[in-house]
Amino acid sequence: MGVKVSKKRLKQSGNAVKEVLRGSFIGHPVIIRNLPFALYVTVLSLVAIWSAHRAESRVREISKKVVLLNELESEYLEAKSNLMKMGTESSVRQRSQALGLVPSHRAPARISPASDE
Amino acid sequence: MAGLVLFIALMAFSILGRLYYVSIQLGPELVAAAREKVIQEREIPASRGNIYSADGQLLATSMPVYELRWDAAVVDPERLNSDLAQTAKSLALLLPEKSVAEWSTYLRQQHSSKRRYALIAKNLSYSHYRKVAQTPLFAGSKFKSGLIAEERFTRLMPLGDLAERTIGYQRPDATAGLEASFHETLRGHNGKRWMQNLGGNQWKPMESSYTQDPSNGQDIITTLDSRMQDAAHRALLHTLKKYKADHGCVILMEVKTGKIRAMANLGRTPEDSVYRELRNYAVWEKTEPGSTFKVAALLIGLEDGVVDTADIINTSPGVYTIYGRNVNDSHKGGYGRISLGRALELSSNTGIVKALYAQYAKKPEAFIDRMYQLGLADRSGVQIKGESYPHIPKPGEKDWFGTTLPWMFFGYGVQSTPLQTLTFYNAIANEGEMVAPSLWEATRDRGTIIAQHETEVLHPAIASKDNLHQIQDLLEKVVIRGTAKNIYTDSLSMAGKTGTCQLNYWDPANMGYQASFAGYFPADNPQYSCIVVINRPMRSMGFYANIVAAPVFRDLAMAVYRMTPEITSPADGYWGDGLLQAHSNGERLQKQRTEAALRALENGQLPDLKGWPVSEAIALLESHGYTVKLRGNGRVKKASKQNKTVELDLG
Repeated sequence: MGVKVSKKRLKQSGNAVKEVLRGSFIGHPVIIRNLPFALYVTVLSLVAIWSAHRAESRVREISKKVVLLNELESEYLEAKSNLMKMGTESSVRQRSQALGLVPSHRAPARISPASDE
Repeated sequence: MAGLVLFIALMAFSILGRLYYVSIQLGPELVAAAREKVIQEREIPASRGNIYSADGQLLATSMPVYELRWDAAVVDPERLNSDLAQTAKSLALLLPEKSVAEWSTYLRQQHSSKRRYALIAKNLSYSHYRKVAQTPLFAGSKFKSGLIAEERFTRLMPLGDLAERTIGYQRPDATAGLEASFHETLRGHNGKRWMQNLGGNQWKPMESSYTQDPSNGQDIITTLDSRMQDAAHRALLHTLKKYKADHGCVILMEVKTGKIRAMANLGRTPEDSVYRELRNYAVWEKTEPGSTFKVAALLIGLEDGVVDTADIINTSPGVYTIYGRNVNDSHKGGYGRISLGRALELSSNTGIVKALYAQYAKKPEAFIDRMYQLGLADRSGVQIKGESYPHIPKPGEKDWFGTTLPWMFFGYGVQSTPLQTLTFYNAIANEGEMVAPSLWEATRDRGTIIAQHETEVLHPAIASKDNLHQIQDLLEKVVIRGTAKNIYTDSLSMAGKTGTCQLNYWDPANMGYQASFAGYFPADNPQYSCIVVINRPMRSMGFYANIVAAPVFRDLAMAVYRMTPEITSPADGYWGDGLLQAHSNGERLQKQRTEAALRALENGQLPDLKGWPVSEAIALLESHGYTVKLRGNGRVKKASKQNKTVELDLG
């Protein structure tokens, strides 16, 4: 008796396997009916995957840009620092000595006309 | 056959069993561990604020520096052999701590022992690092050259050693200066955010918001003026070198507000005897002030009404003996019979001591009490850690002797820092109102000023106006005809007092001098007060304050005077009108020219740009969608147009 039942079950499950292999379940009306939704979900998940990848590449891009930014900033600061040092009166004075120039002994005068507007 | 099936079945079952074990039994633990590695709440570092000078120059900022390491194991031997010689040669130039031969051996050693993290150099600036990275061995992809560059942030002072010590530093092991005092404001607060690891130390934010927002540090604007600081530094350095002194400092302060416009501290380094900003002598170093203190002593006498500047004192023979010790004048034989005021001008020790000792010998407490009233016992409270307390001996204490009081009159036995002495002189210049010196001008957060300095009055009136005016008059005469007449100039009126002081007079082996000058300028309308202290000038070259310290004062005063333009109005009458006419004509022409150019551009034509300044021409053209190419420099000579590109010939 038990053997019989198991045989029957075996047959049933064998049918199920066959069915799956044949792929007839794809044509099942429930599936057909929900196909647009399934497609929609697929597209959504594609978008999600794509944006996750994009976010990752953004992160990589940003970290590259940060390195570049730091490099540029450092270059800028070096140039600025050089310029500032060269612009101090001390160094201008030193370099202009070669040209025979010396700082004036008088304060500059600023002429400000009485405003007519 | 059956055996094979059984075997496959067993395999399949064991795989299933293992799968079950791993995912159900170990699963949660593994997932949690993975999460911890991949998903973390990470610190988002806040960037430290900058320090600026009052004239808008950047004094301190954070800058990336690079540490270079070498993964020698990835470099193939052929590459090493062909590039080593040239690389060692370039490295010896770029990183001179090793010679060509040393670099060559070092690199070869690292390579043969397959070191993966060999040190090449630390703390390189970006351009320096790039130069190293362009040497043959290190050039190209890091997978072939093995060069590893690690970035770190450090503080940079763009102006080099200008005010280096005043700006200071904040390191885990040591702190100094403004960086330390304003650390809390400058540092900001790190944020926190959940992030996911993408491998290779790349982290992706998980949410759009932070669990804790990072806030960047705020900027500090100091009262320092970069040009005045430069002038002070230059004048001080020149003198220290000239007199081979040990160290010195200069402070320049705005009389009305107490804002410190320059604070230079230079000391000779023991190893290579060049002068550097080593310590903040201005704030920290407490010494006996010497003759600059006579001004305070005389002011006390005047306030108590016990002496008068017109009192006549006999300074002959230049020696005055108290309790077996001699007060000497620097001029042998003294100055004869002179007024007390003149004694200050000439800085006569005997004159000042005779006049005051007669009054205070019996009641030293009265003199000491007045010192407290003049604010001479207080610290200045400037925003730098480590300011010393002034020292004032008290009658009855164990360091009080019979000679203590008379020696105090000319600045021995009492101790103060240069900044404290200057605060007192500034009060004299400021009609008796003693203001607190300040190095802090404002705090700025993302471009907006959020807090600003307000002048703090330490003492509304240290003495009566009458007595102050007498002292002011005498200080001016010190420069006109007194000890500092060598710095007199008719282009700028100055007032001040010299102070030559013996250091360690009790120890002949370690004796030296300190030359100082404290004063203000212009004498008739004081804008700035200034103190110069030069410690241990070489005795053979000169050590008197008027020779060593006073010229620094004059040089700085003249430099500051030259920085301040005199504002004058154009002459009246014909020439004045003519100037105004020319001015408005020029403006009208300029306006017409711009309008004509705009009209031409609207019609798609190239305007007549001849004679235009380049910057204006570029701005105008670019705002109308043109691309500009330049040739030469100077003003526009010729302009030509091709489609949307304009070429400007300059000259």
